[in-house]
Amino acid sequence: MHKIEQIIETDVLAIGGSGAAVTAAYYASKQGVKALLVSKGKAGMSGNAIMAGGGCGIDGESGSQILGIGSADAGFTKKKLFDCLVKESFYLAEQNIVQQYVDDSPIVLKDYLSWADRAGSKFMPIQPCGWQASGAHFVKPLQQALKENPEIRVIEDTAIVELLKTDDRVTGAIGINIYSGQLIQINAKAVVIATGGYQPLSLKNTVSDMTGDGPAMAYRAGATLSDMEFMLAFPTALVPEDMRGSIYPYLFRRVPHRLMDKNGDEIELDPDAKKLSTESKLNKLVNCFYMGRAIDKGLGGPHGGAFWDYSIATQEEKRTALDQFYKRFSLWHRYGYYKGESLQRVDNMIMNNEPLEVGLGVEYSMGGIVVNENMETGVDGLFAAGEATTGTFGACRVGDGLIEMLCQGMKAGVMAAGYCKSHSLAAPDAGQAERAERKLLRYFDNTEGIEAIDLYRGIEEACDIGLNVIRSESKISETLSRLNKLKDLSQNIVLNEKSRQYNLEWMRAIQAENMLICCEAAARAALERKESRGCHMRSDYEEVNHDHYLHHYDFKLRDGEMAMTIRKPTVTKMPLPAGKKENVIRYFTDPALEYNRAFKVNFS
Amino acid sequence: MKVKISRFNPEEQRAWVQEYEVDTSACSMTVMDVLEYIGNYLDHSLAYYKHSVCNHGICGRCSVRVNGKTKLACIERVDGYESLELEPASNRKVVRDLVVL
Repeated sequence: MHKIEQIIETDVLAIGGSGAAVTAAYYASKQGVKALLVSKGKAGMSGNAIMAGGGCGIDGESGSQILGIGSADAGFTKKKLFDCLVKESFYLAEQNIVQQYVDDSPIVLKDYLSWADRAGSKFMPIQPCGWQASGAHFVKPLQQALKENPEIRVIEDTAIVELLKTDDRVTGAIGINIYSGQLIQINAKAVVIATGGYQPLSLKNTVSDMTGDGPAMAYRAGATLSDMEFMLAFPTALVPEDMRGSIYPYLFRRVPHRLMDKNGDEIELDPDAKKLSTESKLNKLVNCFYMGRAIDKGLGGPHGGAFWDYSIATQEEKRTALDQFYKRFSLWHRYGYYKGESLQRVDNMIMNNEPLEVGLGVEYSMGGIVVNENMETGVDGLFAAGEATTGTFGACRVGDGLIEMLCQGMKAGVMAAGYCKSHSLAAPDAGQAERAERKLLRYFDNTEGIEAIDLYRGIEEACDIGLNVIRSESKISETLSRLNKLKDLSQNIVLNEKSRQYNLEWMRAIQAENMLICCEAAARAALERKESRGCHMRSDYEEVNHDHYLHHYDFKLRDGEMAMTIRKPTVTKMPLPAGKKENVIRYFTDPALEYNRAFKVNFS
Repeated sequence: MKVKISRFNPEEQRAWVQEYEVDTSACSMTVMDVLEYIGNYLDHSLAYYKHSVCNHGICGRCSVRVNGKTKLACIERVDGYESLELEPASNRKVVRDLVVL
């Protein structure tokens, strides 16, 4: 029996639930082609943008000249922003993609800010040219764009699980309606993957679905994955346990504190690192380096974190800092709350000088699908945008994921629409939809094998060992060996629940296949990269080694196997450096780097 | 803690209440933590809101009735309860177990 219940035709299919997919669909539609957005959750608010806790911004020169923002600091020029992004990436960024980010972000911001205005988003201006808001206020404009443009067709709560091809060209996809379990086939002239990244560790501060679907689907369709070893972690709540995963510690970073290990000893920061942490946007990297090292040495607390000790501040200093935070954030949250959660218990702990155990949770994956500056993946008909791609941030993101999603979504939408004008719909290769269907439904027939939920948890447990913040040869090898075993076991996944309706086990089975691809690439690259660079920090190789490792590890499906190759970053303006740096912090504090993101830190 | 969950199988149109025992004494938990514990360790077949959720009370997708009152599972702490009765949100079409349309 044919199990695909519905076939839909469109010009551009944008897959994803957040800013990259919405902008791709919007700009494709503005080019006069039919756009369909398929989102795994609620359209416009199911990706990670809703979890944003800070702000985003562009260069002040464009802010002043293109957006007419009077308060913009025009001294933070396009050139400076480009320079910062490349240096922050540890020179691994693709400079042509960074250029697209710098050039296109003010253009897309023009539309985005007008949606924001009409949606009633409350944005607070920040220097040099940026906007602070809550995640909910950052995604309102996306919902507004969909509301104002009903010609964009939207299908929600549907997970796209496989791409379809005609010869070497991507011509559609298969999806599952999560509620009904029904399969749909979408035939499209062009497809944009805007599904976000992947997050393989058990501590979560993201939405629940960072399962690498887009990168893995693209990989199966012939695209290249790269930089998968780089994941950005930052301070994430471990206590109170029911608030685990909240990012309130990151937001409380300005309340005076020191880092402490489980024995009550201070984790001492190099004075220059302290400056980086307080006077620049490198707080995340600094925390990862120092907290991560203490945790790695077995000096972490019972929940696996390090401690933030507030006893160094007076009661008055703490009260003032906390109240300032509440006041500022009451623009978007109930006073004394962050998101839906009361901060009262945390406030009490801080005021009572009770050390707060804080973990490091991954919020963003720098790696993903390799694209060029036109968001083309190298697979005919397939484009990608946002966190699902790689190239903008290299080894470490300090710039804004929100800006990346908007400007890449816009570019992908325009390019995909252009592609549609010279291509027609094509029927997927014979038997392909049926094969995808069989693959998706095979789990229901299995009577023995690994349970889907155990498999997925096994992947997280494996990655907690060797893909966490501080890595080493033995830990990464252990991760890889476990992943290989899980890959074998994943050939036979069994489901307890045989209904297709809202079947979490079925979803996990499909996601596990995707995660295994992303994690294998990450672990293999991490093992190969015998240095530290950005968010890839190794205890056995602390040096940043430009001479041997200033390259990407690319992964491509060849004859059924994951083949790894090396590729140098694209250089358009800033030549690649040579030599070595003592560690990832010393890389930044080296005065020769001349790193200056709209502030001045004088290093000792 | 005793946790009673209203189950519903759409294929058979069968509704029943299933009881689980969850140790909630070791750490502070939310209703979502309890559901995750049951779903991960006791009963993989349980359906509760899990796709594209924020887990911190903003996306609003995980509402369930907790002892008769509608709550967001992800921020409703269980320390104040002696036992839990979890039912799908009222006046909505039940898809399966605690999941409604």
